[in-house]
Parts: sequence; structure tokens; C-alpha cells
Amino acid sequence: MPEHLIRAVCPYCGVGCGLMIKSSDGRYVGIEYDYSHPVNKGGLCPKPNDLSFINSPDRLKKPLRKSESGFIEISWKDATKEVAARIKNIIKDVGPNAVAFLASAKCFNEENYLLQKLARLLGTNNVDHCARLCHAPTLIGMGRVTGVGALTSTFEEIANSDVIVVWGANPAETYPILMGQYVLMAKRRGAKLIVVGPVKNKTAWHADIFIHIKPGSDIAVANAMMNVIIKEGLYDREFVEKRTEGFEKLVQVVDKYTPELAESISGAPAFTIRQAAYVMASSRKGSLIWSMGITQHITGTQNVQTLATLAALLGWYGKPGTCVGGLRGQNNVQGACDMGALSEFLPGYVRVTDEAGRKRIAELWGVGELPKDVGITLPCVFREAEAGRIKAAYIMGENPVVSEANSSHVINGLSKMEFLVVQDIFLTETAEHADIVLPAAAWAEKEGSFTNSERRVQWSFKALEPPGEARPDLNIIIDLAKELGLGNYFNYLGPEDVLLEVNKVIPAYAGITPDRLKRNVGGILWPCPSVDHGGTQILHVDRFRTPSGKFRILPGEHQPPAEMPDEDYPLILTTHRVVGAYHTNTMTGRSNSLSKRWPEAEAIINPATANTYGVKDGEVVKLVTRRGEYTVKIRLNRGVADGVVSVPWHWGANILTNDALDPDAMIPEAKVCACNIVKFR
Amino acid sequence: MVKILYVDPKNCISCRACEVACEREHEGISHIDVYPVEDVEISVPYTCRHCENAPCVTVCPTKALYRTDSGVFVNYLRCIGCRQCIVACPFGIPKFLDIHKVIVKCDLCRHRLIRNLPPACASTCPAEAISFIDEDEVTKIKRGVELSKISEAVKTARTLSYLRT
Repeated sequence: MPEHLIRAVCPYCGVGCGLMIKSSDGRYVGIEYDYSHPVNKGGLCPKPNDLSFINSPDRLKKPLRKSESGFIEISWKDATKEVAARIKNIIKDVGPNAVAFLASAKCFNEENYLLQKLARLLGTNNVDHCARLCHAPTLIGMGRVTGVGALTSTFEEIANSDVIVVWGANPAETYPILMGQYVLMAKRRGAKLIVVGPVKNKTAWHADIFIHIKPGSDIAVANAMMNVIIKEGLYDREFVEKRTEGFEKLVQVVDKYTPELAESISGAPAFTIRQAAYVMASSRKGSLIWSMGITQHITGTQNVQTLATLAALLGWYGKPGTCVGGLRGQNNVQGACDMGALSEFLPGYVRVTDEAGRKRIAELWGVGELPKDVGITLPCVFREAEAGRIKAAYIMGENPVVSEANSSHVINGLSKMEFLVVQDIFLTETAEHADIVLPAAAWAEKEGSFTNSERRVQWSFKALEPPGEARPDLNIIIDLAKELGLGNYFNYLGPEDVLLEVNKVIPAYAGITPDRLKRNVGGILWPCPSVDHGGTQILHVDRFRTPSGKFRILPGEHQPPAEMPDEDYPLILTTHRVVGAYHTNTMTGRSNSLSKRWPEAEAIINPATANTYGVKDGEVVKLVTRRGEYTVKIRLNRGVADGVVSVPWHWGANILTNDALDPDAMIPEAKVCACNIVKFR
Repeated sequence: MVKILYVDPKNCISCRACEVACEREHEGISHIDVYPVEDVEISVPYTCRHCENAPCVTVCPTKALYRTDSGVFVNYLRCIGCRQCIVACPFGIPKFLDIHKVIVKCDLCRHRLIRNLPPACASTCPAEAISFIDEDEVTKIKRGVELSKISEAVKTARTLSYLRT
């Protein structure tokens, strides 16, 4: 049988690497490196090197209905009919706001666009996705200060920086291509790398300066750096005067945050904080990137605003060699946000409360009115279900039972729902609670566009045939819409038709047509206002996209995490990721070369903590918090401070974490809570 | 010019992509391993050095191990599983494969080289810790690193004297 090579975009993190899928007779047989791809130049981390999950016998092949004796296979016709009828009934009895839709950062732009359109045409803004758990604070915080929630420039500009600050992130494990090909490239050219975080991780191994802080003390440390930079007059005066507003307020706020105060809050030496501030101020070409360590806090949005402001003081915006923003965790989390799969935004970040914007989109869709009340967010879906206000949910390619903080609430919420549909490629922990399970095609078995962390929109081609009766999410949504009587608004033959509509609805995507994407390896970066526009590498060159055109400095105050250690739970628990497992492990866990190397969770603690508790390296213990307990193997690691436990969450550790919410972005504080270690006898 | 597998642990980010890639290209067996050394905070990708005067080739009684211009390879049909190469190799590279009772080691992805593709580990490495390059290229890289250290030191000294005045 001849082998074929088809270009696809990696289905894992937000770097957006290109690769080629090797197939024989429509089945996956391997990969080949795409040496010409502008993002990764062929290089790949371990995850896409083994994509054999796609051939797993666990793949869903037929629609399933839950019965008393477990799941039974049904036809697509019956499945679509039943889903439509049940949703219709609930809307008739209780109203559209009793239904929630969860879109997916794993699915194409076109599919997310259609799911949010379906929700909104049914009359609800209850559509959200896992961006809520990762970079909702970045979207909102960066949106407030710069006008755009996305990364300000490309990875290439990180490689051109003189100073790179990685805060609350571990790109060596979560973004290996970014770390290896861009951050280390900059280092080889002489750039300084500063890493800030609670664990001395593999990224910090390469740092020139590592600032070891306690979880949840980020604002105190960043404010102290700004205190030093302002007091010693090291900030970019021209940039601050011409391009920012609110500097005076910042001066007042950071005045009390001396490095010594920051040391007392964070545990990081004042000397190191000062030293880092000097190094950062030594260049006007720098990058500041962050991830979950910044966002998953009750102060997530404040954290983002503070870091963005720190970069603004140094003039790190709008020019080559600068890049500021969050590293998006999923291949299409940026795209799903752009497409409006968020409860407060229509496509293109038009607020649902913005009457003119709403009207414009309603007209383009050919409908009279769109719902104007902000919908409920992902964590609230399960709380509202527990309270009986959400009766049904439609979940596309997400696994909140493992990914959500305080996950027993999620299970409780799901079981209270009258009707749950899950559309996925495997029977996930979430799908097990569903009434109807719909088998979806995996990304390489369909085509469409993904938007990476840089805002780079790329086309991923179809390389393989889906197993059994599994179908592309796009077709499933279109059929469901037709069954719901909305067929007139869902006249699409394929993803190309949907993207052509997106070109009209979202101005930043206007020139990103299917034709251009298919021809361009490496895609196009939005904003791209017309078909003859080459895309935008660097944002905010002349002005910020705020109403005044200036960077809005919004200073933040340190606020302790929602739950701090006490007598009953004397340790701080935080979570991390490992390079060979991805999110809820549904894909990586079924790829043999990955699952045998990264088979289980290993919590890391300092040898001193281990001594206190009499725990040995490799011992299996129980971690206990107010919300649950979790059995895990312990590894000793001097990279974590005494009194801190860090556990990877891929294998279900979110049963432990805290779901206290950031009031601005509604993200749960999964990165800090109080815990205890209990030994088995 | 002969191309060699150049491994620079300083660049390694410990992601183990090379292991997974090697395993895919070699029917589930990886000939490269990454060892994180926690004490010095560095990770070492560990694979065959393809020695010019290879001890494994010298001791092999059946000429199952042999050297060509490009590297050291195994003829599995000739291997009798005597494990002499395991004893002789100063790097601990050859592994005995129990299911087939033969020695296995890195073959520089010969099946890829004939199609002009670099070995899988060098292709996938996200961090330039493993590259497949001309021999004299390695010398250039090493000298470049040394020179940049000198220029760095001079720059630092100048900055310090500037700060002192």
C-alpha cells in the first residue's frame, strides 16, 4: 500500500507546529518532520512524535445512548433526533438559558464558530470553553490595558529579545519548541533569561536569574521590581510619557512595595528581586511571557495587568525584540476565543452587551435579535447545574471532570442535569456521565483552521479516515442545527464556507480566506483586514487599541490566596504539568511511547518536607485538602520550597484544588490551596 | 565531508522527544536516552558516539558490528549475542534485545539517510541539543561559543568599570 504525507498542524499546545501525517490506506502509520515550517522548522516535542492514540481501539465509532445496562449503540439519525428533541423540550419548558454549550479549544475555528452560533440562535449566551481555565485573565487583563488580549508579537521577536522573563510558566515542558528554538536561541545570542515561579523547573535550569517565590505572591514581587525601576529612574521615560496613562497612580501604589516587603511576602531574596529589576531595565528590547502560574489565581486578572504594566515601564511593546502575553495552552484556544466561544463575547470580541455590535452580527446572520445577557461561564455551569438552574449541557471535546478545579463539584453538577450530550473521540471521564455520546473525528481526520498563540491562523488538512461512523464536529453541529429547525442559518458545505462567513463577521479575519490559508504554509497572523494584507506580526506599533490609544496602567495590590495553610492543612499545594502528558491525558495516555514514559502522577516535595512527614522518595501517600483526597507517589526535589507540594494534574489531581474564583475572569484558583500529607500504614 | 550526530547537553531541555522519535523509527525500541542530572541541572541525551576506532567493532567475533564511513552498524544476522560489545563499549551503548537475542544500537536512521533525511532524533530535537551536521561545523560552533564567552567577559568588565567611575 503506498504511503501518503499530508500537512497538518500539531493537535497539542498553542505553539502551532507543523508536521506531516504519514498514512497508508487512510490509517495513521507515522509522521514526518516539516522542515520548511516557519514556526518549528521541523522540530517537535515528544507528544506529536507518537500520535498512535488516533488508532486506539478505544475510539468512539458509533453514537451511544445511556441505558440501564450501560451504553448502547444507536444510529446517527436517532441520536440527532433525540438530542434535538430533548434540547427543544427544555428550552420550551424552562427557556434557552437552562442549556449550556461547551465549545472546544481542540476543535477548528469553524467548528467553534458554528457551536457558538447555534447557542446564540437558540437564544442563550451560555457558551464557553476551557479558555476560562487558562487564559481568561490574560484575555481580560491584557484587553483592559492594551486593548487586545492576545500575544503582542511573534515567537521570532522573543528570539530577538535581550531579556526574557518567564513568569509562572514552564515552557521547557509545556512549550518545548518555544523554549528550545526561541528562548534558548536568544540566550545563545547573549540574552538573559529570568524565571519566576514556585518550582525550580526545567525552564529554570536554563535561567540566569531564578526568583523562587511562594505561590500567589506574584503581584508583590512585580510591584517591587517596578518600585526599584521607578525609584532609580530606570524606566523608559519616553514610552511612559507618550504611550501610557495612569503612571502617577502606579507610582503611589508601588511606593510601599520595597524588595524587602516583597521578600517577606514571597520568600524570594530582596537582593535577587533587585538584581532581576536591574537586568530587565538594562534593555528596551525584552519579552515577558506567562502562563497558568499567573492566571489560575483569585487575582489572575490583576496579576496579568501588573505584569503587562511592568513590561510597559520598560517600553517592551510595539517594536521588534519585544513580546508580551500569555502562552496559550491549546492548539486552538486563541481561535476558539476569537470565534466567540465565550459567554461574554460574540465573534471578534464584540461584547454581548454592545448593542451596535450585536445588531451588526445579527444582520450578517440574518436574524432579528441576539441574546443580550452575559451567559454563564464554564465553572458556573456545574454550580448552576447543582442548583438546578442548568438542565442540559452540550459538551464538545472537553473533559471538565478532570480539568476543572474541585472536580467533585463537576461530577455532582453533571449528575444533576436532566440531559447531557458529549461529543468526543474517546469515552472520557466526562462522557461517562452523558445521556448521549456522539463519536467525533479527530483533527487529522477532518480539515479546518487553527489559530496559535501568536495569532497565526493555519490550515490543517485531512490526512486520515475517521474510524467507524465517527464524523467531523462541523457536520454533527450542522445536522443538529437542521434538526432544531435552524437549517436556514446553517447552509454550509464544508469548513471553507464557514471560514468565508467568519471573514465577513470578524474584521481581524477579513483577509484570512480558506484559499490563502491552504496555499500558505505557516498561515497568516491576524489582524489581517483584507485579502491583499500580509498579516500583522507586531501589535501596538503606533497606538494601543484602547479607547485613548494609550496603554492603561492599572496597578494591582498584593492579595493573599483564598486558602492559606493552617493547623489542619499546613502545606501549600500547587499543580504543574509534564512534557509527555497533555491536559486530561485522553490522547497522550493512549499513545504507548508517551504513556510508558509518563505513566502516573508524581508529586514533588522538598527533602526537608519529606523529613518532617517521614516520607521517602517513591513512597505512595494520600494528599488531602478540604475538597478531596488523592493518592500519589512522592518524589523528592530540591526545586520546590519546604512546605510546598506540587502535583501534576493530568491524572486527576484537580479533585484537590480550590475553585475560588477570580471576580474579573471567573477563573478558579487551581494553583494554590492548603493541603496535608497522610501516610498509608 | 562526513556528517556526525553532535550532542550538546547544555541545550537539552529534557523533553525526551528524541527517545519517542527513535522508538517510532525503530519498531518500538529507542536507541537514545535522556538523563536529567538534578545536581548540576543539566540533561544529557545519551547515544552511540560512532567511534572511529570503535571498541565494539574490534571485539566483535563475527563481524556483526562493522564500521563504514558514516558510522557503526549491526548486521543482526551475524550477531550471536555474546555481549562482548557491551563489555567493550566505554559509553555503555549496545543493548541486548531479549526477544530477538541480538545487540541493538543507534543506526543513525539509515533508512532516513538514504532518503536524504536527518536522523529522527536530530530532526525532532526542539532545542538544538542534537544536530546532524558536518564535522567541521562542530568545531565552528564550539569556537563560536568560546569567543562569545570572551566578548561577554570583556563587555562585563567594561560595564563594571563604567559603573565604578
